[in-house]
Amino acid sequence: MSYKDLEDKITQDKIAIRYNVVAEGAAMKAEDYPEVKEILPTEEPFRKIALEILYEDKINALKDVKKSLEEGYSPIELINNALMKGIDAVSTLYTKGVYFLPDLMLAGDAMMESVKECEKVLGRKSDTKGTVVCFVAEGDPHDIGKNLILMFLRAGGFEAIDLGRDVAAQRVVEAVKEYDPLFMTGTALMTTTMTAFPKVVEALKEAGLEVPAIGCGGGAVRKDYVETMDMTVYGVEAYHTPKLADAILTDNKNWEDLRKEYSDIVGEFVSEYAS
Amino acid sequence: MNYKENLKNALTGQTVERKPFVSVTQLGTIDAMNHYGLKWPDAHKDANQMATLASSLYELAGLECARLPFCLTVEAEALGCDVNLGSNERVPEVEISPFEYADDIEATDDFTKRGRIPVVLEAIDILKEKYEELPIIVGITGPFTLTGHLLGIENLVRYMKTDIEEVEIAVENCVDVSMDYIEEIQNHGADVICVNEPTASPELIAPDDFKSLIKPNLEDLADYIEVLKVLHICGSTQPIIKDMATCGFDGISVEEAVDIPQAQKEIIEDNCVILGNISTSKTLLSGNSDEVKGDVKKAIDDGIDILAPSCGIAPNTPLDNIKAAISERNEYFNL
Repeated sequence: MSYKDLEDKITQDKIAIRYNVVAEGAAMKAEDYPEVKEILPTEEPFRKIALEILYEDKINALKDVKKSLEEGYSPIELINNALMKGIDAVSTLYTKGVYFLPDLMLAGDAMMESVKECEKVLGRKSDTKGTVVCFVAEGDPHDIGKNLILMFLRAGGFEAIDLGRDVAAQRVVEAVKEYDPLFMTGTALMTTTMTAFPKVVEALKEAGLEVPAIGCGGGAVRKDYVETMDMTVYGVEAYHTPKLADAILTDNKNWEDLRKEYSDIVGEFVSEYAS
Repeated sequence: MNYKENLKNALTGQTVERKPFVSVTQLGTIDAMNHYGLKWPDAHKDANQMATLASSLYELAGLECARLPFCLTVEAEALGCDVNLGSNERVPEVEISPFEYADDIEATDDFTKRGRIPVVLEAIDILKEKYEELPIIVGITGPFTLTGHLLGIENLVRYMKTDIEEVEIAVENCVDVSMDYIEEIQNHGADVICVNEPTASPELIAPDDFKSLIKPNLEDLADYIEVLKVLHICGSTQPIIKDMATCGFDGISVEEAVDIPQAQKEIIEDNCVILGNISTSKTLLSGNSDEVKGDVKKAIDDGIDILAPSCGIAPNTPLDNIKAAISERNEYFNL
């Protein structure tokens, strides 16, 4: 279609609406939210790096992490006191509805790259609390949710095994045998693919395997559906994952406990779990 | 009963004796495919099979529309993406896109003759021939969702913060592409066009970005569509309900995460009705018929204007649950 043809077909009477500028309140800086202030370190260079994560600035975060490493700061300290604090602040703002998915992804990029820089100096992967296996349901190619989970798990100090997307139940069984994970996550965007979860549970049972819990979540997935299966818990937000894993690790919680105590475990009001 | 008239009246805000029960989203189910001896991916590629499956829930359960196609990959494929058409168990998905930059996105002159666009158009013809009073609803991919298919969804989400201009150009180019397709769909006589824009959900994109970037493009698109038009966005769309309702569509389709009374209050001044929001996962797929009925009754009591599944119907959804949903509507209106 040529522009001339197009022009004739589009009426112009909505232009006025389109360019109306909606008045917005004075912007508040991300670092000034009280919840964020509580999280952010006060000491330099940690504060500066944490702020760079908060402001999704990968280039400067990397630069300052490298500089601090050269100056002799411990990579572990940089990970725990700067990078993790930064990403904690990001998830706090996400919970508040100030930040959105693009912010999570970009801040996540900045954090993950910086962690890699620290691990280079460390000469190994940083110590982890335990292993979590993450997969996307069979038939589902949407893996943004799973990638966020990986990021939050790694930020939370867990070894997160990425099985990728469109993962067959049998592959999940093999991974459980191989890694003996303390927790597992399965994500699906669509109603058409979340039906893969019961198959995973069945396959695990058939193989005589058990995991403390499988966190199922994603776009179309609902709590009621997840709770028709054994071994599962409905995961509401990606950043809840390390908290659930912590509860399994330190308090020996299983899937039934996680369902009952979800809000307490993730430390916030979760409407899906409000009775 | 003239379902076409009834749907038109409901979509244009007139009082109707019975609220229509349609699906503006994917409706192919395994039960229906088994009944007709159809299967995916064939029904994605063959116009006769597509037409039969599109009207299957009307024939077997009394759903008041035919709805096609059963995926959101038709446009991407016609633009040159590799699409995996899947199987009975998996819906088609874009696998590889030839596009790297927004500027590359352009429809060739023969765009509407490529991929499965001719199949969709022929299926409309078949349905048109067969049914006089049954509305034919055609789903198209929204420009922002199409951009996600073409540039990669993760790239797109990052671009929203790092290179908004790239996104603007891409989405505008996708609007141009859609217009060619819309023109053909209208020429073939579809009654309703549903623009599916799942990627614009607040779960992916900030509501402010929806308003500033996606809404103007949806306005252009709505303005261009001459037949009845519906906008479907998945997820918790409460924060963008007002913006959805003022894009220029006759109706907006929402899912169960949206509080209907609250949404109706917000858009009371707008010429826009609400479709939805019978849960496709909680009740239609995994509930029993009583739970389905409860869902339908609640939706009507909440003030939904047109009953519809909240999202694409899961292929494993039992036919009996769809029957139960429609029979509850019938009982409610003493039919």
